Amino acid sequence: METWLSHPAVQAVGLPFIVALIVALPLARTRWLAIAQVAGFAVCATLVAGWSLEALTSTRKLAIIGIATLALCALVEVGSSNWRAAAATSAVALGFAAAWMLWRLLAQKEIGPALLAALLAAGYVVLQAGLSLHAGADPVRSTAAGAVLALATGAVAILGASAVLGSMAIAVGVSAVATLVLPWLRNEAPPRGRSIALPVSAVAALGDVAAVLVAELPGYCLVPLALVFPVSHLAPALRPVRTRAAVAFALALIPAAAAIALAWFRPA
Amino acid sequence: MNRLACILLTLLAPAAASAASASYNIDPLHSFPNFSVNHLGMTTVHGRFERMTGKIVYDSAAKTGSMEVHVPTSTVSTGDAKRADGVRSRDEHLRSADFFNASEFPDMTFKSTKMNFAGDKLESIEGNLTLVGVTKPVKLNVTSFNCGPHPYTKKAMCGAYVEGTIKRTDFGMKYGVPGISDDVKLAIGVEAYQE
Repeated sequence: METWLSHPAVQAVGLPFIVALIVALPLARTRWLAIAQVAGFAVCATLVAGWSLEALTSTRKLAIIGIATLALCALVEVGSSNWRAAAATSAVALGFAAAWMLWRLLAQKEIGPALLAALLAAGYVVLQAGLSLHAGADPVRSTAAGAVLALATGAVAILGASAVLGSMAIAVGVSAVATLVLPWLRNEAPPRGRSIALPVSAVAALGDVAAVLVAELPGYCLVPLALVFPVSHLAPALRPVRTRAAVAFALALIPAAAAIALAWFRPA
Repeated sequence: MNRLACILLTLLAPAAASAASASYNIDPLHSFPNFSVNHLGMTTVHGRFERMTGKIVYDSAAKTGSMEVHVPTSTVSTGDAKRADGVRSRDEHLRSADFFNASEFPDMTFKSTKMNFAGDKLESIEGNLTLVGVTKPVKLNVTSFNCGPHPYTKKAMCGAYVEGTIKRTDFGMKYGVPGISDDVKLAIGVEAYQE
């Protein structure tokens, strides 16, 4: 059992997908499908990083923030009468969370470079969270884009940063895929939930900045990843959910593949 | 005469004590922390850190002492530093957050709390190892410990070889267990010169 649970494919793909699918079943007709993404992510975080608060590494902080995105989802969904303000608050909160996640690294830098790194990291996270909330008007396209973003983050993290970080990003990505399984089978879009792709996009964006600043992933790899949501949004709002999801996935894969290629062919 | 002897002894005692207790600076050119870890149950991979600094205080008469060592984790080396094809090398992976997390935790330290003697022989050193931000007690067995003058320069020096085993998961380093074993053997060779 221990050997099975320690297998990277089980930790990052198998278990998160199954757990997310199980959690998604009762939530399929609600606005709370994001909970399933967080559940799948939490399983992976437990297996690869654990929840010890001794030595609060950026990876563990990422796990904590990933869980905490549920509170932001609640803020957006409950405050849906003024969702723009709630969405802006959530995005900015994630920007501060990015600075907190990277604090140990930033504290070792001079004030100027530290501020610049914090602003760029927070800006990127705010951008991705904002794009996902904006895209949330179409839960199928936004979940597809979020899943591709996280899977691409996982790939670039494994190539240029850390396998643990990569596993966590892949886990939230496959969990997002799991939340699309039922709508796919029913060929019926889930209820509109603005925050449906917030956990997956937040974890992916935080993973991206961690891969650049904590590890050695070149920053330019993030440029195509910033285009994942806008490009997937080009998918026509076709009535058949299966087709819409497939087109959104395919379009999102274009910038994602570019980011992976940049990470793969980065200078030695 | 007896009074004179007492006075002389009283005056000389502190000097004698300080002569017995000496501080030694670790020579980074001849001191390396080595480690070995089982890989896939098939073989043992060896590595070391290329830099180590610190100080040893040793009092042979009082059988006391202390040891403080600092190791920059970015100097980890296992013979796979850079790959021409651009694929991440093992040393780069070891520096990542999966293992030593060198960018967030650039320093590994060992601070002794107790030196154990068997007769006149230094047998083991107990202390706290701080790795990846986690501090845990560790016991290192001393396989050799010698002090004396450098054969050519005659400068006072000490040398030691200590060994121990840690569980890396105790320090939050979970990646790859059990394929890359949890148990990590440490073997640290040290030379230090008197201040």
